Amino acid sequence: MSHVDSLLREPLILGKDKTYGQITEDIVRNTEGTPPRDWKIAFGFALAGLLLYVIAVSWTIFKGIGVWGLQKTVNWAWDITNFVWWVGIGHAGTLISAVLLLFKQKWRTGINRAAEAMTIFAVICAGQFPLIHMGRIWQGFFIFPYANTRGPLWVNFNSPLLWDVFAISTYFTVSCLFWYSGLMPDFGTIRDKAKTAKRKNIYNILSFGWRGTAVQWSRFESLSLVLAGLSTPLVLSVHTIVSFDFATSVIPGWHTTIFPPYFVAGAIFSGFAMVQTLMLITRKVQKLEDYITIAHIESMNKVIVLTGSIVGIAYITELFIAWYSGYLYEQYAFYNRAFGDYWWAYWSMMTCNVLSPQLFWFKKFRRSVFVSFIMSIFVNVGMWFERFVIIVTSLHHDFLVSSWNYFSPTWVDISIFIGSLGLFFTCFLLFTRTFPVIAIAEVKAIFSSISEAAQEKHKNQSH
Amino acid sequence: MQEKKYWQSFAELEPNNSLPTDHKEFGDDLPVLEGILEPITDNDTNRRDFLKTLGFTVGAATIAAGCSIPEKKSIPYVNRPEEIAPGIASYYSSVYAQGGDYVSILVKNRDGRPIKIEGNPDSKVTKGGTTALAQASIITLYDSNRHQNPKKAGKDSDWKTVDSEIAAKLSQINASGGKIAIVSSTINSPSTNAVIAQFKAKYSNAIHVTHDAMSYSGLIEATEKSFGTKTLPNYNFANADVILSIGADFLATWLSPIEYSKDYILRRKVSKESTNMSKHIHVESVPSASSATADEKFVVSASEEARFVGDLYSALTSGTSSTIPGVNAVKNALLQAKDAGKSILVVNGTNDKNAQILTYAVNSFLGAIGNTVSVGSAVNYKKGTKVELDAFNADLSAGSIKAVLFLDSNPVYSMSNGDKLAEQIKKLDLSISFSDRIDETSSVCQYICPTNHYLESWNDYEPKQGIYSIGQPVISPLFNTRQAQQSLMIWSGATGTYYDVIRGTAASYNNSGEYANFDGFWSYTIMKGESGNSTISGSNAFNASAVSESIAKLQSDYPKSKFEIKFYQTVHGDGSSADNPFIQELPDPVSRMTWGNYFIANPADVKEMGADDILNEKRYAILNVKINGKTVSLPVVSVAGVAPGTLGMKFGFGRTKTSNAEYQYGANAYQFSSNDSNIATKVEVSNSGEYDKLASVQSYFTLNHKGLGGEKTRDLIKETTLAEYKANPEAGNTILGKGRKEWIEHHLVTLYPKHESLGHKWGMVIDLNSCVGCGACVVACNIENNVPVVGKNEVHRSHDMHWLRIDRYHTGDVNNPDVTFQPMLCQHCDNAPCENVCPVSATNHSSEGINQMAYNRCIGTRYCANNCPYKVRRFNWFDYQGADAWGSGNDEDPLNRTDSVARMVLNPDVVTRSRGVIEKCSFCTQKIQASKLEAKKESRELRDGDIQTACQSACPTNAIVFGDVNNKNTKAFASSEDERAFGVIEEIYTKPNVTYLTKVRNRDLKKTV
Repeated sequence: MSHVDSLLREPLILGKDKTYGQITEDIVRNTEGTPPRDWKIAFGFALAGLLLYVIAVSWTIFKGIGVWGLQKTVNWAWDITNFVWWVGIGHAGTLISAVLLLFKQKWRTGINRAAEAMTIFAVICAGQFPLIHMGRIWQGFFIFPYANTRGPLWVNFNSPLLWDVFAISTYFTVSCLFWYSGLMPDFGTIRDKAKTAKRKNIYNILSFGWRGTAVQWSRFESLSLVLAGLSTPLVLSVHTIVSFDFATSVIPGWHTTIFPPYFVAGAIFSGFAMVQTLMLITRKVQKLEDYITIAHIESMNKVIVLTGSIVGIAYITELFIAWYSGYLYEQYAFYNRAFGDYWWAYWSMMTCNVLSPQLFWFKKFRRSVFVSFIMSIFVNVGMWFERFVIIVTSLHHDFLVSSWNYFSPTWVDISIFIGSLGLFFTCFLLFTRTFPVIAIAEVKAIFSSISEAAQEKHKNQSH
Repeated sequence: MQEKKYWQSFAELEPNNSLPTDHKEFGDDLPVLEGILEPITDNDTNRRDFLKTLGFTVGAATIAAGCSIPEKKSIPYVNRPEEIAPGIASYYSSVYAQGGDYVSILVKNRDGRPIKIEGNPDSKVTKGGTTALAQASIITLYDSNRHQNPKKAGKDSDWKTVDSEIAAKLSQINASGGKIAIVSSTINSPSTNAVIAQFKAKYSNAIHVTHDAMSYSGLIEATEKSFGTKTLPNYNFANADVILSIGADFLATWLSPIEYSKDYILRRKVSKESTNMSKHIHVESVPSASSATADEKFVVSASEEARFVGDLYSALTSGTSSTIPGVNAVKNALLQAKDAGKSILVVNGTNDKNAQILTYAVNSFLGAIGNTVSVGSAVNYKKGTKVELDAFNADLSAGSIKAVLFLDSNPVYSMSNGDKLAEQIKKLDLSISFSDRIDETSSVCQYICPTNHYLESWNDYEPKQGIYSIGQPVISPLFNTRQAQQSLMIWSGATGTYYDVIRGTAASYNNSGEYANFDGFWSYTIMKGESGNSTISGSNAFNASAVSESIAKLQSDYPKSKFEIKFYQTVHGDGSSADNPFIQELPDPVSRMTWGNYFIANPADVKEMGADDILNEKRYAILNVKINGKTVSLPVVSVAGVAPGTLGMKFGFGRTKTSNAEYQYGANAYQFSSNDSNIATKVEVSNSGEYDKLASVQSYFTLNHKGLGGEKTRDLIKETTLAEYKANPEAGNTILGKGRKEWIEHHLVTLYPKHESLGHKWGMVIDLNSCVGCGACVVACNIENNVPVVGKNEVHRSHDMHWLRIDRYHTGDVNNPDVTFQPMLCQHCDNAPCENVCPVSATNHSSEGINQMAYNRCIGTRYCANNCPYKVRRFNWFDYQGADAWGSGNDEDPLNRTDSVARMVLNPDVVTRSRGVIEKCSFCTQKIQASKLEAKKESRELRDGDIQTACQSACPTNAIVFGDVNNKNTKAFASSEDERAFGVIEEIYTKPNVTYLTKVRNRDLKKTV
């Protein structure tokens, strides 16, 4: 039924002797047996990070936001930087699973499951920050427009923070649904391979009793399309709304109409970098090089160089517009970014986000696992700095010179950030041991057309 | 029979009218609750429902009873005291007098507690103005660290024991011929003087020595030398067309700043009708609040400042030229003014007798004596002289003094020989301190007989001859303390109370014949706070005999050296209020530092010493400075306008014995300055290479900044000169280089709907020309609105909570910049950027134009604070006030402000904020409400001026006007429509309801930047 791809196209599943059974075996293997030593060490670090997170957050809630480095002039810094950074990272998963599905990009099947998982865990991490940055987290429910006896007292629909609440919760819900519905056939596969009754039961429940009938497959496909259709606008809208937190304000450096596209590009950029980081490790540790191939890495690197360049243009546009505006506050804000107290953050951002990804114009670098890994870390760092630069350098020197100030983080700020990485990796590592990290059913769907085995077979037939 | 019908509107009378009569006052019910809210009687209640309800109720009650409810102490009145109506404030006149400083005040009492100090507008001296110190003095009343009992050898005792022992010892010492010295700061209370006279009558060897921490001995002695009367002169700043101040910070600290400010400002308020502005020339070595308002300023080194008047005199009288910068320019200006027949006033801040004699000589030459300077009637602010003090020290060293009583005086701290004095006191037969709190002197005394707080005491004052005022108590003594005067009376063997003595004294002041009887006079004086008039009588004949000697002496006393130190006073006072956290946390007007002192120095000097600050960490290089052989290590702060080679060191810090170590930051300047000059020239300076953190609230930045379009100046401050103003009242009032009104007409558009204010609309106008940066408004705001003080560490972390701050900006030459103060508070924008970003609408706009905060709705996202272009929103980073529900385990309260006594000062009309919420200026909404209720009770409309915000009423220069800008007849409306009115960064269209009036300097040409 499926058409046969050109022989010239690079295969997406390597291994000449691959069979459907072998694919199942390769992927499900990682959820069976005891975890390897590397995994245990990594998990230990992640749990330690999570513990640090719990301690730092508890201290913040007990003592007050004052334990952070924030002050009267800079009222947001690492908290919202982390928030935007994590939300941005989430975007790649949605883009891969929804937009690439609609565009029929088959290479996405190798990475979409892990990328979607990353999205969910990143959004979980991101969602922490709007909560813990509140002075009174115990009153946090005020941000929901719920029926109340207070007058009625309503939320402020003018506030971008409220839009965030809706954007993030919608995003999280849709991402979860999409991810989970995709998992159901694979859970069925794991169940069918399970050797103990307990395991069988658990995966049976997780798979919602998936039987693999034609009706189910048909509905599965339809649901995938519907959810992809729902998710696609979210790729654009969520980070657009996040950017409104800044764009709708009056602070020079925030009050910028370029923010929505600039933020979306940045989000995809950082998200792909994070997917790259995770996939490069996963394929190695879980021996999935046959499924996450150099071709996948190269494709992602192409996205990175594209979005990185878009972000670079945005940076330069900002500078140009600031100069062109003729408005002294605007002109100062951007001058201050590049040459002010936080020049190092700005130039770190520029180097990591704009300059270094240009290496990927060269095929050699695009296909180098080592360069790809280093670059993915660079981009992650650079994108964190981007948010830091936007938030802190705009605030610390705003309109009234009398209030100018300098922000330095405290141990709590740093611990919460490192701790959020702990939270993320705890989730992700658990995921790699319990869930199939590659969408088995979807990979099998392209096996007969674009795997090395299929090409081999086709070659043999034509001869 | 038809029922009689009462109706209140036509709608009720005509039942067919469409207006609903059952209008729900509090809005409609939520639709989701429909069906749930049906009346319970409509349901059939059966036995099972009854049992269910019963079960639930009993269960719930059991659970509720099991939880302990925090115990609150509240005792209802059995017999309500007269005058006290719960919830209604009453005001009593009284007097704040500290070491001779005199402020006539009104004390606001709520439910029996004094909670706020206001200026007394009926006062002829202070005319309703206050100082930061007076405002903050209420805090010292509610201080649980006050001595709560008399103490003997550091241990609590009782009055009976203490009295009998002291009386016996005094008699014994007196009999054996030993001298008994009462050391006090200036006493301008006639009754206290009477009590001391009584004491001296009983103990024939008793002497009374006056020691003022900030001495005006030089001026008093100069007056004696020049006019034959040992007193301070009267200055009339209102009459002066030209004012020359040589280092006298007369608007903030020098002698009687409120009185001078009130007079001075009469000639500084400019309007189209009145451009008769005085010209203020200032000469100084370290910048002060007063020089910021000056029209012309000359910066000279500390020694040059001391010699300035000598050179000026020579220049004026004999045309000698001088090496001191500015002398010639000042001479020309003064001669020109003299020739034009203008009134001139020269004041000199020095405590050097010779310089003050020459100041009189200059005034005399310029015809100021008898016009703007007059001598003749007693001015009682300061009385201490060096002669008296030297005699006391000699007696003490000689051992003829056997007993000392310290009354409102702390010489171990405030004398340059304090350490030696402490040793001497320890050796005395008897030493008594009347101090009501821990200080350096009382801690070496045998007995501490704590006096009452002034708000707990009767007293009387004669600040100036002819003006008599009575300070009445506004609360019973909180602790087992006794007024010092009463103690002296008891030890003198006198019967009766000090109150009787005051009544007796008062009778002698009832000589105007205005009152039918004494009780009339007494009641009037208590009600108004003051009676009588200041009369100037006596000789104004200047005796120039000492002039030539003084010139020579001045030249030899103050040689110029590479480094010189100028000791100076700021609005923080002389150190007696150093244990008042509201004073410590009040930023210095010029250096913008809180908590402790430091050296201020010229930026170029600091750079040369390699002592640059690490500004981003607010850490400052520590200098080791050797002054007259004693070394002190303090951080140095670069301040524009300090003379090159001069270091400034503030008095009033570095206390060593206080209730809390937080009050001890800095170093004691008194130990380095001798009493006759506040200048040291034998100075060695070295950079220690170490750093210390200082709690600054404003960093050093100018308004000119390099941006992507080159260097540009922020027009946050708008300024012009008198000449330009006369030609065009809108001069200097520009937005982005264009005239303000024209710019606004052409540029401002918004997407947001306009806020309609149909009734009142509150607005405030602040005259930049009037603000002298004294900080009285800041403290008044803090106390009125329960703003927490947070301590040095928190201010260092930029967690200061002040709702109102006084921004200081410099323009021009770093060595001699123009300084402008800009009080900055919530601008109550009509297009408030904070309002639309709050996700929960915790900050919103009232129908009267106030940007208001609902603290209990705030969840603390701080988005509003970020988006506030004026950065006036303050977040409660920690639980500073013990106001959150987490108990005391997580308080951040280094100053013990959550103590139950300290909390008594809190204004019950203003909620204390818990941690995690934003707070900010509310335009004193509680005062607006109170005035509205008052008007309503009297069935009248609000009058302009009924509502006085805390900052407005505290201001000694009436720089702040508040009122209803929807009413065309108010001052606030008129001012806000003035050509000088502008809003800060109006071009972003926040539409602030606080407007400022441009600063007008009386100079011919605008100084170029």
